[in-house]
Amino acid sequence: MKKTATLILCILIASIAFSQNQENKVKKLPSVIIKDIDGKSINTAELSNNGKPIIISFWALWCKPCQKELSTIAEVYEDWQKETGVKLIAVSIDDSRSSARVKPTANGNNWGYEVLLDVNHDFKRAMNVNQIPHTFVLNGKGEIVWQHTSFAEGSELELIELIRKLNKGEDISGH
Amino acid sequence: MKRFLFIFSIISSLYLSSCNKINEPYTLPIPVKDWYGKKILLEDYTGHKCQNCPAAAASAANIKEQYGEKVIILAVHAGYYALPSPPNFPEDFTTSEGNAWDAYFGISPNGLPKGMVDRKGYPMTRHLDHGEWASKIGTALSEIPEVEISVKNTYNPSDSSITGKINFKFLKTIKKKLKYQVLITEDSIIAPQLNATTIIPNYLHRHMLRASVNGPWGNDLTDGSTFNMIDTEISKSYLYSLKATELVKYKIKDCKTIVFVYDDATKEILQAEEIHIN
Amino acid sequence: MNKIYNYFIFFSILIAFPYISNSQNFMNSGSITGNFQMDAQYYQKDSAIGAPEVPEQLLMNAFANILYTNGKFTTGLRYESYRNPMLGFDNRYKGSGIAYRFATYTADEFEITLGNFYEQFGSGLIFRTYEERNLGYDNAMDGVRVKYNPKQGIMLKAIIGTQRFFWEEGPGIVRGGDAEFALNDLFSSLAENKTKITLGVSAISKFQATEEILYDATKKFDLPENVGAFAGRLNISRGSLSLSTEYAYKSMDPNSLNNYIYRHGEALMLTAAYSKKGLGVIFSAKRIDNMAFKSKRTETGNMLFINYLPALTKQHSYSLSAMYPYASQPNGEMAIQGEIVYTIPKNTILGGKYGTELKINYSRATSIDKKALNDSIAIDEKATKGYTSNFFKFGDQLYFQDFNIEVVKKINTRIKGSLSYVNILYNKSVIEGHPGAPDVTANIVIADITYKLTSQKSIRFEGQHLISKGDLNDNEDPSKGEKKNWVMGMIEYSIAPHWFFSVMDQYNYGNDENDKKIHFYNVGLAYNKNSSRIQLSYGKQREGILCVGGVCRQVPAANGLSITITSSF
Repeated sequence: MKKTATLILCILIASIAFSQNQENKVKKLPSVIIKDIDGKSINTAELSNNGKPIIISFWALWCKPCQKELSTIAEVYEDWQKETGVKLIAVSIDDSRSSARVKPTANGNNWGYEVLLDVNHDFKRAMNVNQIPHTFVLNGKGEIVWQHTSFAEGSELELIELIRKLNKGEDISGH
Repeated sequence: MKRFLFIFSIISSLYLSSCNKINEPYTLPIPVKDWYGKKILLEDYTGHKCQNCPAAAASAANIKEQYGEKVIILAVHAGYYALPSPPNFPEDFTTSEGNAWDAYFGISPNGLPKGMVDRKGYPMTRHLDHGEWASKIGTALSEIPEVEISVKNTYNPSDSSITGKINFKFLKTIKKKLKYQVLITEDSIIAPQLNATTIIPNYLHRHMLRASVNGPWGNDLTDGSTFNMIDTEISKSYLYSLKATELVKYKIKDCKTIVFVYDDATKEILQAEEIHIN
Repeated sequence: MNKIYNYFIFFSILIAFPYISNSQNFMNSGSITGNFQMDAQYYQKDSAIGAPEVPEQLLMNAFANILYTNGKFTTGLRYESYRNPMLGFDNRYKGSGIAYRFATYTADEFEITLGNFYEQFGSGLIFRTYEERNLGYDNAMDGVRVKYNPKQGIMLKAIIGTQRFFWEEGPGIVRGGDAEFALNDLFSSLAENKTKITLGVSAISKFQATEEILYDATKKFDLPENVGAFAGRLNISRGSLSLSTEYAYKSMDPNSLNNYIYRHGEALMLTAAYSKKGLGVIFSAKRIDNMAFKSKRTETGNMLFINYLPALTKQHSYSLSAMYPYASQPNGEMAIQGEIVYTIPKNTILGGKYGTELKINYSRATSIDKKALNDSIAIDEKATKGYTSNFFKFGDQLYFQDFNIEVVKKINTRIKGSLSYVNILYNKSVIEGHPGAPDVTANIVIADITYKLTSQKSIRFEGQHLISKGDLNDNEDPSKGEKKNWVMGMIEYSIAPHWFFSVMDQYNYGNDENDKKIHFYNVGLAYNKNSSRIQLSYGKQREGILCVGGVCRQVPAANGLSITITSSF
C-alpha cells in the first residue's frame, strides 16, 4: 500500500513535469522575503539589474571555497561591471550565530557586492540549493539560465564568458 | 473584514500564549490506579561509565518502590558505556543478549540512559528517557492482560542447575505469533559506577541481566496461524546449569529468573513474571 | 502506513486543486523545480580506529525535494530515505517516506501555509524551526502559518503546529506570533532619515498535557501544561554603525534538561558593529539562563528544540581547527566575541601589490553566576526555583575560549595563500559531557596555498599542525594517555570547472599510545557539471564532532568508500 501510494505519487508528479512544454518553461526567482545587511526586507522575486545579467552566489562564513570564489571575483568585479553591467548578489546562509558578522566581513574584505542574509534558509530552500558554493546566472529578463555548484580556481572565467554570451543574446543553457 | 480576522487571530494567539503558574511545593501526590494483573517489564539500558545512569536507576527504584511486584526492572548493560575500562571499571557486565537487543533496537548509539517499557512502540518510539518511564508505566499498568504467567523454580545445589516450570494461560482469545523468553538476573552487585563527575567505588548495581536461558529472542510459544482460545493453557519447562565461571561470581540468593511473553510482530511484551531461583 | 496514505490523499487534492480552479492555464504556467542528494558509504571494519562492523555493509541517506509553483500557489514535498541510516545518524530515522509537505497560497497581503514549514522569529531565541540535513536535524513545524503584510514596514506572522520527531510528531503544540516594524518605512517623516530602526516583538507558547514524572516514590511533579515565552528586539543602524539587541523571557518550564527546576528563563543578545570599505569591527555579548525550550519535557537529545541559542564563537572550516567545536549551553552561559576584519591597502609595505586581508577573532564563553536559594537547598535541586543569579556577573567556570588570526595574501598572479593561527581552550567535561575529563588546550597553525598552473588548472596545498594538551584517549581513564599532536597534509588538484582530485592524510603522531598513532588517509574525486556533483572518496575518517548551524553530531570513526551525488533542477 505504502509503495503503491508513493509510486502513484511519483508518476503523478513526473507526468506533470513532463507534460509541461519544455520550450516555454522559464524559471524565475521565487518570492521569498529576506533581509539585506542593513536589515531592510527584500522580496527576492524583485531582484533586478536594469535588464542586465545577475549572478547570485550562495555562501557562508564557514565555507572556505565560497569565500575564495567571492574574493577572486572581487578582484575583477569592477572590470566585469564596466564591461558587461553584471551585478553579483552574494546570499549568505549564515544563521543568527554569525549573520551579524557578515556585514563587517563583506566590508572588511572590500567586496563591492550586494549582500543578502538568508538566516533561516528560506531562499536557499526555494532555490533548491543543497551544497554551497552554488551560483546562479540570470539573464536580463530575470530568468535563471544557468547554475553551478563548487568553486575551483578558474571557474570565474567560465562565469564571465557566460555573461558575455548572454549580453550577445546567445543561449547558454547548454553549458 | 480580512483585517478584522487577522487582528482577531493575533489577539487569540496572544491569549493562547499564556503560561501556567505553578506554586510551591511543585509536587503532587500520585493517584492510585486500577490494576488487572498486567506486570510491566522496564528495561534500563545502562553502563558503569555512563554519568547519568545512576539518575535513571534512581528513577527505576522510585517506580519499583511505588508499584512493587507489578513492575519488573531489568538493567541491561550494553554499548560503549558498559565496556570494561581497567583499572577504574574492570568488570564486564555486558551479555551477548543485551548487546543483541541494544543493536536491534538501536539504543546505546543514541546515548544512555534510555529505557523501554514492555518494548512498546517498535519500530518507532521506544527509547524513553528515564523521566518518561513512570508515566508510560502508569498507563500500561491499567491495561487488561492477554496472558497470565506462573513460574516455579527448583534449584539443585549439587549440580547447580535451575529447573523451571512455566504455565501460560490465555486470558483472551488471540491469534498472534508469541515467543517466550527466560532470563537470569542478579540483584545488588557492588562495583564501581560513574556518577556525574565522580566515580562511586562501591555502587549498588541492581536488577542486572546476567544470562539468557533461551538466546536473545527466546522460543516459540504459538505459531500465530490459529486462534488460541481463552482459558487454554500451555506449559513449558527449562533447565539451566550455571557454568563454573558463573558460580564463582553469582550470589544465588540474589538471582532471579524473569519470564516474559512477547508478540513476535511488534516485539511488545504482553506479560512478564519474576521469581527467585530457589 | 496510514500516514503515507494520508499524505497521498493530501497531495492529490493539492495537485488537483489548481486543475479544477484554473484548468486551462495550469500546464503552461506552472513550474517544477527540485533537488536531490544521496550519500552512501561502504563500510569496512577497522578496529585500530574503532570503526565498527556494519552488518548491512552499505548504508545510505537520500532525499529529494520537489517544488511546484503556479502563480500565487506553491506546493512541495520532500521524500527521504534512510536505508539504513549512515553511522552517526540517529537510527530512529530508519525508513523511507514523505517527511515534509506543504502548500502555500499568497493572496493580497496574506501568505498562508498549510503543512510543514520552517520559521524563525528574530534571532531565534524563542522560536526557530530549521533543518540541517547533513546532521540529521529537522524540527519542522506541521501546522498552519499566516503572514500578513498590511503595509510597507509591517510584517505580522502567526504560527501553530507540532514539531517533527524523526518519522513522528512531538507531543507538544507550539503556537505564537511575531510582529516586526521597520520604522523608516512606516513613517514618511523618517523615510529619509539616516538612522534606520527596526523593532520586533514575538510570543510563543507551548502546550503539552501533564504527565506522571516522579519526584520520588510517593510524589510526582506538578507540571505546567502551558509554557510561555516572549521576546523583544531592536536594530538600529546609521551609516557604518549598527547596533542590534534581543531579549527573551520564558516562564517556568521544568524539564529533563534543567533537572525540573521551577525557574524562569532569560536570554539577552547584543551586537555592535562598525564597518566601512576595508575595515569591519564587531563586538557581541550574550547571556543565556535556563533557556532549554523543547516541545517535549523529557527529550534530552538534539530533537524538538523550539528555540535556537546561537553560539558566539567562530565556526572553523579547517579539519584540525574544527576538532574542538563549541555549542551553546542552554542551562546557562555568558559569552563575548570580538572580531576585526581589515584589508591592508594595495601598494603599501604590508599590503603589497594586491592588498592583504587580516582577520582577528576572539571569543569566550563561561558559566553564569549561580547562588543557592538557601542553605538547605542545593543549586539546581529539582522541584525548587533552582538558584538565584546576578545578571551581569560571569560565572567562574570557563567553557570555551578561542583566539585566532588569519592572514590571506595574494603573492602574484599565480600564488595565493593564507596562514592561520588558532588557540583554543575547550572544557571537555561540560561541552561533551565527560565529567572529570580535563580541559583541553590546543594550538593550531594552518597554511593554505593555491598555485595556479594555467587559467583553469590549479593545485592547492593545505598543511595543518595541532598541539593539544589534556585530550584523553579514554575520557574515563587518564592512564590511557593523551592524543597530543596531529599533523595534516592535503594536496588538491582542480581543473575548472568540472574536476577535483585530492589526497589527504591526518596523522596523530603525538599520541601517547603507539597503537593510536594512526594515519587517517583519504583520497577523493569530484566531478561537477552545472548544478550536479558526484563525489567519491576512499579512506579513514576520524571520530569527531561535526557542527553546522548550531547543531553538533558525533561522527564515529569509519573506514571505507563513500559516494555523494547531489543535483538541483
